[in-house]
Amino acid sequence: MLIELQSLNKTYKTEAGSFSALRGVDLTIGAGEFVAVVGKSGSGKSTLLNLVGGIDRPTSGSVSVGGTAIQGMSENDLAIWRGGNVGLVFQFFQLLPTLTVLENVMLPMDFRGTLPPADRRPRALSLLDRVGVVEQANKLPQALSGGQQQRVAIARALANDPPVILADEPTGNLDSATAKDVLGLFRGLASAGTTVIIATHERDIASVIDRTVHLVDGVVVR
Amino acid sequence: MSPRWRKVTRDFWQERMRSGLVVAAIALGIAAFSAVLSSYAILDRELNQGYLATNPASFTIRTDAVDRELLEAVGAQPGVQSVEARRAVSGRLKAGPAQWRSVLLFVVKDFADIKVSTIAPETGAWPPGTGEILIERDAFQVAKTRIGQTVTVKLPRGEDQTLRVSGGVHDVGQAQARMENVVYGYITLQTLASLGEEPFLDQLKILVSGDRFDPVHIAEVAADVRKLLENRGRPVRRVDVPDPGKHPHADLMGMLLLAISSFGLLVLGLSGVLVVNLLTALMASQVRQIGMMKAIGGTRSQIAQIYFGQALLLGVAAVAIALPVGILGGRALCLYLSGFLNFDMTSFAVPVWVYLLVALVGLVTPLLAASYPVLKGSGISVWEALSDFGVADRGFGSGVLDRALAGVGGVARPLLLAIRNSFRRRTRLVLTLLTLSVGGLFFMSALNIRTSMINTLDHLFASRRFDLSVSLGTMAPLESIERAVAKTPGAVRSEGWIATEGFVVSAAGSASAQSSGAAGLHGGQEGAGGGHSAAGPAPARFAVLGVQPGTKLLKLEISEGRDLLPEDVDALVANTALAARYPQIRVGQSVVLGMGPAESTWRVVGIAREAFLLPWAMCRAPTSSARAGTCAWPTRFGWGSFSRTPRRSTGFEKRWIKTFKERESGRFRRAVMPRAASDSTSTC
Repeated sequence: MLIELQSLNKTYKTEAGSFSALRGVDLTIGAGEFVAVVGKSGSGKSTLLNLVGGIDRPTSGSVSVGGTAIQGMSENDLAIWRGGNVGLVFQFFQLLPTLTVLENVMLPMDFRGTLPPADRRPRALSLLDRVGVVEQANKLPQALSGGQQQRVAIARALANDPPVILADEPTGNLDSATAKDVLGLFRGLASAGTTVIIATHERDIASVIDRTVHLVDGVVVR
Repeated sequence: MSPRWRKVTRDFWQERMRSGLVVAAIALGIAAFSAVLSSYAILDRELNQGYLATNPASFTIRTDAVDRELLEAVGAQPGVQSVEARRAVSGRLKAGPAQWRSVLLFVVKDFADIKVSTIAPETGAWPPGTGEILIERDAFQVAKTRIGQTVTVKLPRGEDQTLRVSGGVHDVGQAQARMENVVYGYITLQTLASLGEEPFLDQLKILVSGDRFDPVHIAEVAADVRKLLENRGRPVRRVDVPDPGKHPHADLMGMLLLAISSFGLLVLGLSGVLVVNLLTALMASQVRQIGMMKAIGGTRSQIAQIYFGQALLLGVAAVAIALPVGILGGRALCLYLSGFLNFDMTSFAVPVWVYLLVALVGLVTPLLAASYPVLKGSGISVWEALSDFGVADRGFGSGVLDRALAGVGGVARPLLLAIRNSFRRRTRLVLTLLTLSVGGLFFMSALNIRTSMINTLDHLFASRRFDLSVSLGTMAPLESIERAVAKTPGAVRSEGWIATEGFVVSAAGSASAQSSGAAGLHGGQEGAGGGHSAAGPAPARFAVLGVQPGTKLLKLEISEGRDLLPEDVDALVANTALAARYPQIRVGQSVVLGMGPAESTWRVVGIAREAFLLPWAMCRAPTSSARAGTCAWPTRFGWGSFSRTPRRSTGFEKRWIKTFKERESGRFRRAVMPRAASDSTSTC
């Protein structure tokens, strides 16, 4: 198994009191699976993805990705680990506004430093070509449509060739046609061996995904 | 360029308004800092080079008439490189149609052969002929004359004489004439004779061979020369040893630059606080981006590098702007101060170390200022950053203060919103308040210093309860002066005082040798050349004022002990500067003072608080019934007559002086009106 969650709990403490976002989640996901995490707002979808991606830490339980238990890692180690193992895609794209599309894609390679500097640009261009926005490479994100920006975000997530892609509501801000294209991209990635987990409200995704995980009030119901 | 560094430059440009403010703030501080630093480096070099180029005398000995034989004997003395005879004579010079100014005439035997303490001809003729005078370039404004015109000069023993102004010279060793309100003139022995003085020279200006900057060596040579003179039966009236190689006004310049540099550093500090504030705001606006960069693999140090790079860029921009501005400012400051201290600038070249230090400070300051917001901002977790909690750690409402503010009511909602918003970002609030407070602090400090100076001067002048003091050139019976004053309309009260010089004799009977100048009642420095007494060869002298019992015209502010009482005979009141200099001058203790050839013991009864003045002491003037014969008063200052008039205009006082002079022209030396001008005493 590539991803293994055991007895995962996450409780947030707020001024209004404690709030359990995830309760006793046990989940395993295999390599190359395309999994959709669905549920209502506040059901714990984003929290689940955050814990798998090492963005947040569980209150209890364990998270293992590719055999690495990440719940005990430091912030810095998590950043390094993420850089090589996880690609993240967000609802609002989160591209850096002062970098061009090409530079946004090159940035994870720059941080990780695995590729020689001379190879980063060709790889970024190839990834942009793969997601269909290579002609926008030298534009700033602001000049692109929402769908194009999300494609760039996917290319950026693939920059260091991670085994896992986590996408939190990747189509939530896109029209249906564009959303379909983006889901198609994810399907292609999963088919090529990358594990893809998306948190989504989309109803018509059964045709592209391998498995659905339903969350209700922080508990996996099926 | 990697994407990271592209982000640095593009963010700088995107936030150009905010970046511009930060750059302006740093540039302001750096410009002030570099202006002061460069001017200090330039002035220190130029002042000393210009001064040393005049071959300043290592020491000056005052004796009686110097003849050729003595000059040759001193010149042959081991350790003496050059010796030259000079004389300085004080007198009066009529400036303009009716205004008299103090004049200090430097008498030179051979203007073509000046080797020590040289002066440089600047304009007009050189050397001056008989009946001609050269005037120091800065003194033309005081003398209100020009080359080719004539001035009237009167020396104590002579009559009014007219001299032709034949040229202008530059004497680096003299203070700015305008500041001293003195005319410096240069004449020959023949001209001195025409002014009614005996034509002799009484000073030996000596330049030592070997190490010119070794005070011990100079003191040894001075002692040898002194012994030589005494062996030949020549009196040694005084030995002046200035600090070797140091311009007489170097300390003054240092003080000025210290004051300016203090403000420069304060501005730099203030700009640092501003940078912290602005960068904190910048980091707050970048929180999501920081979170995203961490999410895609950026470590804390990699992200911190980006923002430190941005701070470095701010520093580079600030230095690029501030350095030329500061160097230009430094030049302007140099020009102003060189005029103020009366020396010429030959080069504005700024040493390399100044550029390096300014660049270092300019680059390090924003980095230091950025360290807190950058380290705090880059340390934020991805989850916090993407949740937009920002660098504020927590939202408003979680703290005790927040809840207390939430309970505030009874005011309009917009005001409530403003109040609560003010406390939402507390670090920023603290920094803003800190910036405003520090700015206010500097502003108030400057105002306080100004007010304090004015109040201190007011206090000082309040202790001098007279409008006019008149110094006489020779001793005169008090009764005759009082008669002359009484016959001159306008004076309400007058007192005769004696002013002389004294020195502290130690318990072992030897003079305490500390550097000091002889001070007049108004803190001015008497004597020519601006040097101070020698360490070792001559004791430090200070002014001693003998006043009439129960004086009404001088009421000092006593900080310790008491004032003089009418029945006091051997009591002494010292000012704070004198008490600070000598540990034996304490209330209740006795001190042996040398005044003239005699020594006498005095009881210290009080210490008077006085700011800005040189050391001086006050005691009862000797009378036939009090201490007659216990101390011999030299005639250098003669009797001083101090008159009090009702509050009237300076014009009235000048008319009074004119009338008085007509009666006592033979003895009149000079008059000082301590309150005639707000910034300096006025001399007639």
